[in-house]
Amino acid sequence: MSDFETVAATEFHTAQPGPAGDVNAPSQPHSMETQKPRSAGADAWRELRRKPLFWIGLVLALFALVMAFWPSLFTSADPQTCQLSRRMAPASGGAIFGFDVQGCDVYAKAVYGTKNSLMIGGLAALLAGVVAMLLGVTAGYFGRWWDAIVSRVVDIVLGLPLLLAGIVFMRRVANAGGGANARVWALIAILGLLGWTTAARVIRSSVITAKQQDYVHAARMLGAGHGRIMLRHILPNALAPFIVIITMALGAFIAAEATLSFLGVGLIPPSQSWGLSISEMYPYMRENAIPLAVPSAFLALTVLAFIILGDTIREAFDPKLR
Amino acid sequence: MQVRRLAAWVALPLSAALALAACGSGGGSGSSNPDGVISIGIGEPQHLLPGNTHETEGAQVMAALYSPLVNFDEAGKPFEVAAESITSTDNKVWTIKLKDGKFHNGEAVDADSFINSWNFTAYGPNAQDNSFFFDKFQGWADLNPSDANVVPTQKTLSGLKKIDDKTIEVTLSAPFTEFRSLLGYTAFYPLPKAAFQDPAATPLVLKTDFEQAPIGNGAFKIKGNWQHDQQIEVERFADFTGEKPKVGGILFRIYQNQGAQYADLLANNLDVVKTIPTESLATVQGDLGDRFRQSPSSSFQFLAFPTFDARFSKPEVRKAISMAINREEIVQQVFQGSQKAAYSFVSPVVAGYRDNTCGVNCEFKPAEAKAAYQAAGGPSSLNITYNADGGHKQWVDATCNQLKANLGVECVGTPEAKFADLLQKVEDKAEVGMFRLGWSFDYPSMENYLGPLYTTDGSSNYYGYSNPAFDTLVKEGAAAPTPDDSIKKYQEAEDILVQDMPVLPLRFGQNNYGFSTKVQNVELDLFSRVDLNKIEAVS
Amino acid sequence: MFRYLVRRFLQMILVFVATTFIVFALMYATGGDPIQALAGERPVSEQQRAQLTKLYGLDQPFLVRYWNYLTGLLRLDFGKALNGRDVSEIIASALPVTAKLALIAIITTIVVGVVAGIIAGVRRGSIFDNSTLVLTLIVIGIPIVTLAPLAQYIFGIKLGWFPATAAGREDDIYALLLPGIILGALSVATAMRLTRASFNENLRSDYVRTARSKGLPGRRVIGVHVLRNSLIPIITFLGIELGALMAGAIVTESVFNVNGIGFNLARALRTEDAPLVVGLVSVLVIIFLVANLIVDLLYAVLDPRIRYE
Repeated sequence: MSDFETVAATEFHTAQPGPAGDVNAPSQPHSMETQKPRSAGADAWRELRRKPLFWIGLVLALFALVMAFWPSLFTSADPQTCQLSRRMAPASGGAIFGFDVQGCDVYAKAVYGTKNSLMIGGLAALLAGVVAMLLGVTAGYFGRWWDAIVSRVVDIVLGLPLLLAGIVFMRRVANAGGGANARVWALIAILGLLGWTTAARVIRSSVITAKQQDYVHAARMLGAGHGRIMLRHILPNALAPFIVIITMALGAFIAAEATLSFLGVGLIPPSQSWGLSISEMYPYMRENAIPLAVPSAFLALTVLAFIILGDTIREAFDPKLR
Repeated sequence: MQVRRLAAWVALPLSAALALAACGSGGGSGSSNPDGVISIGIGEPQHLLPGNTHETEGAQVMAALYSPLVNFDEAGKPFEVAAESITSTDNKVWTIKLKDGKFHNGEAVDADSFINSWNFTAYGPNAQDNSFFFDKFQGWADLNPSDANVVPTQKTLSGLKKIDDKTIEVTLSAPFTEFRSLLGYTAFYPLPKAAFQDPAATPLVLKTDFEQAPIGNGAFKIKGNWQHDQQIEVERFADFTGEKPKVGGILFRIYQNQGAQYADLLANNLDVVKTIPTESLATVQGDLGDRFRQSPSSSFQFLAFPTFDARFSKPEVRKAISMAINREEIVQQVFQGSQKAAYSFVSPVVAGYRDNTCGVNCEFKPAEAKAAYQAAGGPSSLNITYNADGGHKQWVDATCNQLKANLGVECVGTPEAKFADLLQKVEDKAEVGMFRLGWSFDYPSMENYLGPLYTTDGSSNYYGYSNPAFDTLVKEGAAAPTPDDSIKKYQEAEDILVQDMPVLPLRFGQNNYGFSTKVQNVELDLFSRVDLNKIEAVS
Repeated sequence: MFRYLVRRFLQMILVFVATTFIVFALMYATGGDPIQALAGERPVSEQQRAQLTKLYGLDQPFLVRYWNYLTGLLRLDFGKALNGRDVSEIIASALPVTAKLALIAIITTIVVGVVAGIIAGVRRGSIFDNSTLVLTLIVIGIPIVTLAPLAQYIFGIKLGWFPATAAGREDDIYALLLPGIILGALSVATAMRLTRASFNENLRSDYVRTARSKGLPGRRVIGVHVLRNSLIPIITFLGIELGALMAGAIVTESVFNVNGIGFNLARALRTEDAPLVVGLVSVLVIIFLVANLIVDLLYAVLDPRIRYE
């Protein structure tokens, strides 16, 4: 859902006050750690280790990851084998949550749905992260016309709320006759290419801040090229917001996939997806809520895991919150 | 070319139904309030114009505003309403005599009211959706040249003649035995002079805003304007000369989805829901008790094959697939028994229906089906294309699961956003695999289930089926001297379908409707419309 | 300031033209047949096809159509929807409804989210803080597609506290209350976390320390200094949230049958009513852009450090 986009956006505004995307970037008092990026990471880790919430998030996320790669560890049932005679039947044997309206194993479907959700969320977040990193760093570093162009592109993409744009783009894919697999990749591409804007802004701001630091000037005077400066001195500064935003975007994109699938423009069978299960089962809520509750819970917990992770990591990286 | 509509029911609620004994008198023993205003849930009508209204939402409102020439009794037989008599000696030239009547603006209903309306609808450049209902009239082709850019040479139907103020003579291009039934359709409602910019002009031009507040000859007149996406309110017309309704007015509340309609019914905010959503069928008994009713409908659901596709060109393959489908199980599990498994090609609501004409071809025999399927070399992976906006997902997926289990093949339900997309793909001969279609009649006749669907030039024959013997029998049936003779020919034609199995009959639909505690005597008529003459408000 | 306004305005026009162009191109290049889509289930006669093609200008080149659309917008003419109604007429009837819904949602967000956020921010680490933090995380995790029908079922049908749907009762605030609150619930969690973080940060800032050391009472420090500075990110959030609200309204309005922008958009998408989609999206984009502009201007008022040149 698009409001996740704003989670990331706004939380970062607290750290980076200043009108969205405009050039007068905040000059934040940076502590000494920023000059030695490695120790910033170590500090953050020391901070994180002490947070139970971080561990909860991490365990949940790892759990989801294992489930995505080895679903057969969790269930021996085939989610594609459905018998109408078992419609809405109660739990039996391995089907610990019973059967849904098509007589499919509710638990097995949820387990196998993990893969698509994580894959779409993960790859889309990665794509968004890479685009944001590339554009954010270069825009922040080079400034001038390139920064202006990137900023305008950000404005344009932000002009279309994620969900809205997702619907319109996916509609186009659906009309082009994309099959089940094509939809998965289309979703990744669309979410990734629409969801990078906030991250780019944040990275850009942190780059602008870093650029003005003395050690960057020093490096430049010592004759370091743009590439080297960006790689060695600027990038590490952008890494923290990058990691945080990727983690949070992951949760947001998983939810976005579910919403798009719910609206009928996301994944289609035989793809397994929580959003698809939710959209199939929600009309039957009043008859039997379990087939709806199980994928909803899987979805909520996974989104939760990444939001918690992103949240705790952000706090750990933000020296002012210590 | 003859064009007819295919039902995408559920989205557009189940089409026509016969109010048989089952629905009986609509519950409640409360005393009736003759001035009470009741509310009926509908979807946003596409049009409120005789020539353009062809879906059940608009037809429901039009039924309040207009009084038809004929209506149908419970057995599907037409009886005169606005017409005094409709007679013919040769089934080709028909004489329609009219009763006295008044439009809501005070104008008298006369022969011109009908002739103007019909000429307007039939005239090609007016682009009226119901124009094809006049294709049996003499002169229709002159108004509808095949090249769209050519202005028709004629402006009016040559087969339409005013004898006097109360008499119309209709000449058809070929004898049509069941012409009286045809006249019950929305397309044949009259229009007042006030509807046209100049009622004497040819061709007639409609006033632009007429549709926003249609003037009819029916028992109710519109109150204010059509409030798009919100509501249409009608009140009893004092000067109506026909059967008086038992309520003071009706509020047609417009909904986007049936789920919302149903939720409002449960909250007692809405009086009548004409279609209980499939997903609520399992709980509806508990929710509504005896305020949930069922009655047969004319809708017929079937699975079609692109017979031009080599994979499905063998009848043996089609028969094997048919035998691998457990129709009863789907009816019971998916539809909670709210529909009926179909073992014939013609709905039970029309005269001439015979039980189980499909015979062994529609019996569920998984073992034999699998053997026959392999012997005939059926494809190893199947898909069923359906329109996603019609609530078909559940049963299509269930059917696919049965085929997977019983034939040992892959099967996927493939949604297309809309029915139009599906049709387009079929017409383009794209690879759609099997596809679902539904049909509900335009007028109660066996012919309506055969001609448009399976004749070589049938308007809705999307599967490329062609059998000259079948075509001949249907043509002979339409021109037979009596309805009984027609039926005999049609039944012979149906038997040919069983041999060829161009489509697989799956289910006959039913109306599943519910109503609030504030109304009684709720019945759905032939066209899935609430019978507005019977419904009463409980005071 | 004036130069800034002019620049922002030009920027807005650019964004507007670009976004509408994208949507316009996507909707009209769908590959589907808009005329067939219009006719629904029935085959279209050649006569009708010719008529409708002309009516909707589908025979003109794409760029010409886009240009006509843009110039039409200046006259507030959004074109005709495929069902024959003026798009501007649909917007005029739908916009106030969605505005009311959004207003309820934003009030919910502010009342619940911001107040809880302030308490949590002031008492960081308290039980209240920790429990609301976990609670908001959970709320963020629940998709609206589950939340909306569930609320409709529990509060509309089972308990009967609210009308189950708002169909035909769009003038009745009471009917809009439940969908509005549901819509707002989505941002409550974010607003709360944001306020908390913002408060927190400001509480530790030097100026607060200065104010405290000067002997100002804690109530005044929090009520005046901290509140004012903490409002900045919250206002940005509400501005951006407006866009999210409009999008979230697609699901909420469909479930509750609220005849607003989101509801019409969902229907337009389903029926591939391209003129309507483009019209509605244009309106949403304008609202979104104007809201962001106002947010930026408010910055200047609230944060004296920011000056626009």
